[in-house]
Amino acid sequence: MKNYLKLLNFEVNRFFKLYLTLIGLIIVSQFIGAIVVSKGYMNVTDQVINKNQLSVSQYIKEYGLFSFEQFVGSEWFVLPILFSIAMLMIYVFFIWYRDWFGKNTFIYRLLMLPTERITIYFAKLTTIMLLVLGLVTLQILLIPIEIKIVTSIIPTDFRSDFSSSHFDSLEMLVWLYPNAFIEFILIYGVGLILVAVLFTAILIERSYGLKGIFFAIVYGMLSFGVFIAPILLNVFSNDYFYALEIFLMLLVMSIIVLGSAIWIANHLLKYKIRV
Amino acid sequence: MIEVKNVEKKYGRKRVLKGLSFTAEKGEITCLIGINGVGKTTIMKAIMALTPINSGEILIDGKKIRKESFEKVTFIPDTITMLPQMKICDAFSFMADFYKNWDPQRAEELLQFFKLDPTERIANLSKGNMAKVNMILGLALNVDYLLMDEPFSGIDIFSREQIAEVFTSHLIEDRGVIITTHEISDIEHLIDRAVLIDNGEVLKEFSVEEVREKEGKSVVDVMREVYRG
Amino acid sequence: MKKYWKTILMSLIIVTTIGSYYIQQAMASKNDISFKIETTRGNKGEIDNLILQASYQSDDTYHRLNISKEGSTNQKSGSFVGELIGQYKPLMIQKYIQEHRKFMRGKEINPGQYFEDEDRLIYTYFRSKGLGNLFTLQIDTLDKHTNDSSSFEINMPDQVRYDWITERDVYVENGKIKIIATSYLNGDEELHLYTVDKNKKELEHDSILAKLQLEERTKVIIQVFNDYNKVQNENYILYMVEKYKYLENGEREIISNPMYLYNYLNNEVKEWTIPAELKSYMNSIILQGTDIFIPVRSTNGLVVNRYNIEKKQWEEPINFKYPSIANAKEEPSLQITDGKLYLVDRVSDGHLFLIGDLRTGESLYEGKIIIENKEKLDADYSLYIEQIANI
Repeated sequence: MKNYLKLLNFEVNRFFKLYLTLIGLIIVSQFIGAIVVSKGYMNVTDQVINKNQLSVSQYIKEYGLFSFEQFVGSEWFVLPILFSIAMLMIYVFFIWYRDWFGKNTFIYRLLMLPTERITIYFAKLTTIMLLVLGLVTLQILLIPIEIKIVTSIIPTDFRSDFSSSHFDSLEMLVWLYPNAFIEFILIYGVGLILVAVLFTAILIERSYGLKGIFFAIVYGMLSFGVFIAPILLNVFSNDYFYALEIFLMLLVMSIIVLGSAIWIANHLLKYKIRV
Repeated sequence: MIEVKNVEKKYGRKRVLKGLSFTAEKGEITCLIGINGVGKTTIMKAIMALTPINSGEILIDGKKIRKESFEKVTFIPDTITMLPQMKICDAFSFMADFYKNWDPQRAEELLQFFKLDPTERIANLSKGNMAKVNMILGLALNVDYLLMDEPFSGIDIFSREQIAEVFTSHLIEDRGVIITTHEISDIEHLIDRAVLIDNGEVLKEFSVEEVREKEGKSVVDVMREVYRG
Repeated sequence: MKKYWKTILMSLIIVTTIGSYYIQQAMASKNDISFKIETTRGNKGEIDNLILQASYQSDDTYHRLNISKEGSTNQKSGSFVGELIGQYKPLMIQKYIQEHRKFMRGKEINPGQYFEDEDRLIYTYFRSKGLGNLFTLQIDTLDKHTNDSSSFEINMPDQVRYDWITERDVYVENGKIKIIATSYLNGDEELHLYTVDKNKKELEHDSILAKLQLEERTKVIIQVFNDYNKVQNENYILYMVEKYKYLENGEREIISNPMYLYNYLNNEVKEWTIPAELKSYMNSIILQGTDIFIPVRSTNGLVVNRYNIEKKQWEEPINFKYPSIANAKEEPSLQITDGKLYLVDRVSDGHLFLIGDLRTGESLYEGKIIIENKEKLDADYSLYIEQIANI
């Protein structure tokens, strides 16, 4: 357990500088975006009002109010999110491969530590989860600030009511910020299982070389198949099962997939891994 | 004692190790001798469970390798086993954090002996200095067995002398050492046992001193006999 | 310990932020719209076992909820996992699933496919077989007393080839199962009456009550006026065959729209004419038992016009007086079950909930459905009751 925490801390520290850069990028892009989009709207509004000599209410009737969604849907907001997702996806692979390649043969050291080798796996898995949740948290903290920025530029008359929990405006955000806590656990739980399966696939490749890539892909597809088996079963049996039953089956399948990912990883790290 | 028993290893279709067996005792320096690519490094990695074997058994003090074994045996490969952006002192803290058997004083002594600066980053070190740091990572651990892979390869002569000095010191005395090299002449005077390997098998295993006294041959002589004969 | 500060700080911030976010969400949901029923007068016992399956809509939210005398239960619209998992089902179907879980597995949720009486529950299903637009008809019967179920499948004759078939109603008597279904093929629609002999397990009859062919620039639809959402056993089916076309300016011009009454018991089809003054209220027609009801809303309440099918005459309309908001965009929700009229209509401070006895014309119960937390009131909301059932 202690070794797990030590390794976890070590992995977090390794990525920290890059992480702060990512955070900085998101903050800068979104704050600038909030200003740019709001000012842009006001400029257009002023122009139209002046050109057509409209009153405020006439303008609103014709063109509608400014909603926070207009900022949330803009590139300033979305691009840094997409970029971060891409970075983290890459890091899922990089967090392992970086210890093998380049001037780095740190993997020797990791595998020679007086600890169960699966601890390395858990530490890296937890690190990814922390990094992801950290960015999720960041966004939650940024939104109220961004609302303040927008409301300081756009007067009350021109905007619709912003309530802070409007994470449903962006399709993607509904998935990242579900309404109920139980759904949050489910979604990020599935995310965890996905990363675990990817990790195990990476270890398969590292243990078996070229043919390992083939096995890794097969393993990945098998895991996916097992996971969605209850849904397929239901479709092929003409909706024989009720929703709650399908849900419970999915839960069981998830546990099986996660369990096998960990078991296989443990076996590979102990007996099959090559440096 | 480290026992390697009948180890088979295939790499793809190729049989790299073919029923290879030898032992290395504590308190002795055993040298694995063979040409490049014969499998010496592979054997060492196999002992440390850093590469899998197809069949056979490797025992350390009678037991298969477990996580506790890593406090008893360590491996100094020919690459540095720390992150290049780490400073030497960071590397030492890392070792201290994870290994109960890490001796910080000894590490300090060796650092001074090798005249290295602890605030230097590993990536910025010369090849010779990197090898020295690697050596400290192994020697400052109070382990029973040390495995060293080509400790002298590509090192300048002065660094070599320094490293050789360590070999004769108390730091090595009570430990079991397995060392590989393809330049036997450099260390012939240091080793206790020699294991001649060719084609994935052990051709001959012998005590260096015995052979010198009884048959008046040097290791190189024996090698000539075995490999050519 | 201090070298752990980055990890510890990260973990703390994550846990506190996400924790408070969801605590906040939970608190907010406590302020979700909820309704209650307040009794104004009448017999409180009338609403004892009632559940109103309703949907609430305001500017930006849409919810489904169930209202009963205890209050309302919400299904959060944002809960997509809830949507993935819990499919919307009409109340009657939910009741069947609760009572006959095994029998109801794999069955469709269209109430028109079910027939229920005291002794049994019967399910009919047209299954498309293979590629050639062929169908089989599956009949499942559950004996409610013994809990035994049986099932048989009939191959529809080769001439029966359609793109799909929608069951509208099932009526069972004297060992005959009568199924009214609409079939579609390349845009042509037909209203069929299939008669199945339950004992011989074969298709006895396939009569076509109405047949429509696409003519140039004309469209036809068949509208059945028995309530879709309920599994009730009426002896009659009222339907209309409407032919219309689209004019140059995009407007619809009706060419003809005769209405017909089909009698399950004697297999007769008779044309039925709706009085001219009630024609615009055609879409509110409800057929129940031997009556055709046409409710008309006015400023001081609801007038229920009724036509007695057996006596072939219009009876005295029933009047329910209440201050309705005649111009509201909301249509009143009306349901007629077992001789009772259930009405929900917008009034000035909420919705009126009225239960009337159609035989006596008296109101049995009057109450109001109001929002519990007034602050959440979006003045522009609408409430639509999909189904009222006795659970």
